[in-house]
Amino acid sequence: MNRSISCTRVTHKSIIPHCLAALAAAACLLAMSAAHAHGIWFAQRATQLALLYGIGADDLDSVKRLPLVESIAGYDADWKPIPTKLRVAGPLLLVDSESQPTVVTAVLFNGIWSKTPEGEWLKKGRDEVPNATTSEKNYKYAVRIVGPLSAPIPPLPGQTLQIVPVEAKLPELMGKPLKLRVLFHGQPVAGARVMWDWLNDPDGKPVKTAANGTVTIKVRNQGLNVITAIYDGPSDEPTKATKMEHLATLSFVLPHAPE
Amino acid sequence: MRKHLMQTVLLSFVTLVLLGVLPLNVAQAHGGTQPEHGGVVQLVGDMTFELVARPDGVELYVEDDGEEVNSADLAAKLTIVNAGAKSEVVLAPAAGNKFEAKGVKIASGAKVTALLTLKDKQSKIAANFTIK
Repeated sequence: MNRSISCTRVTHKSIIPHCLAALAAAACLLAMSAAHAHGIWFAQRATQLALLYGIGADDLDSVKRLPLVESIAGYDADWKPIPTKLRVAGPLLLVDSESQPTVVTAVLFNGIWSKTPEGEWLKKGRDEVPNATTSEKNYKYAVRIVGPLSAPIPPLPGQTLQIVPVEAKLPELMGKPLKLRVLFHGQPVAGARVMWDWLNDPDGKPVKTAANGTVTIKVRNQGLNVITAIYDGPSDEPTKATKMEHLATLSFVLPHAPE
Repeated sequence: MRKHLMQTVLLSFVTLVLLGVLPLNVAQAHGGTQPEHGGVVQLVGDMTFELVARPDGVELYVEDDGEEVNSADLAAKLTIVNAGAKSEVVLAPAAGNKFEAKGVKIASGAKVTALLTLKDKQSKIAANFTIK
C-alpha cells in the first residue's frame, strides 16, 4: 500500500516538471499569439486624447510605433476633416487637433508576421519563413467618438475595417444594448469577430456579425468602452502573406453621474 | 467613570470619522456647478467653463480644480454652429479668469464648443454648450 503510494508520488514528481515545462511553453505561445493580436485605440490620458497600442491592461509603447502609424485624422460633426496630428509627449502619443473633433481616426500598419510550426510568430513574410504555417499582414484601425454625433458615422477614409453604431445616439447607461455594423471597404461584412470590451475582457468570446454586418452588444462600461472587430481579408501580397488581418476598434465614453 | 470613558471614545470616533470624510468631499468637488456670471456652466474633468452670451459680446470664465486660472497664460476660441452655419471666434484674455469677444452675438439654439489651450501651448480641453 505504502509502496503503491510511493510509486504514485514518484510518478507525479516525474510528470510535474514536464507539465510545468509544457505549461510554460503554452504560455509563451499564447503570449506570442496575443502580441500578434494587439490593437490601437484612443483613450484620455491627463485630460488629453492619446493613441494607445496594446491589448487588455497592456498599454504598451506607442511612441516607438509612431513610424508605423499611416494616418491620423479628425472630423467635425459634418464629417469635414479637421487638421489633426500626433505629437510625442513623454511616453504618450497625444492627438493634437486645431478644433475639437467629433470623431478621430488612425491607421497603423503592424507589418507581416509568420507563424512557425513551433508556434512562434516572426515579423517576416512567408518568403522568408518557408515552413510558416500561416503568414499575415496586419492592419490596425481606430475610431474614437469624441463629441456628440448628429448623424450616423459614415465609412471614413483609410478605415478599411470600421465599426459604426447603427444609430447616431449612443446609450447613456452601461448594460443597454448597442447595435453596431462592421464595414469592410465601406460595405457591411458578415463573420467579423466583435468583442465588447477590448480592455477589460480581452479573452472574451467574440460575437460574429450577421449577414447584414450587424451585431448587438451590451455596453460594458460607464466610462471608456473599446469595442473591437477582427476580420481576415484576402492578401494583397500573396508571396509574403496568406491573408490580411484587420483589427478595428471603436471607442467612446459614457459619462459618469455628476459628482 | 465607565460611562464617561465610553462617551470619550464615542466622541473621538465621531471626530475621526468627520475629519476623514470632510476632506474626501472637498477632494471630490472639482469645481462649482452654479454659474457665477449668469452663464452656462460645463464641467470637463476638473476644469469648469462658464459661457456667458451677452447682447454685446461673449465671455468665458475658466476655473481649474476650483481655482481661477489666469487667462493671460492661456488661449481660447469658440466654434459656433448655428442653423448649419459654422464660425470660429478667438477670445481675448481679459482680467482674471475671463476671456471675451466683444460684438459677437450667439443665437439661441446655437451649439458652441469652447477650446482652451493650456500653458504648454499644446494641450487642449474642450467644453460643449447649447445656448438656450
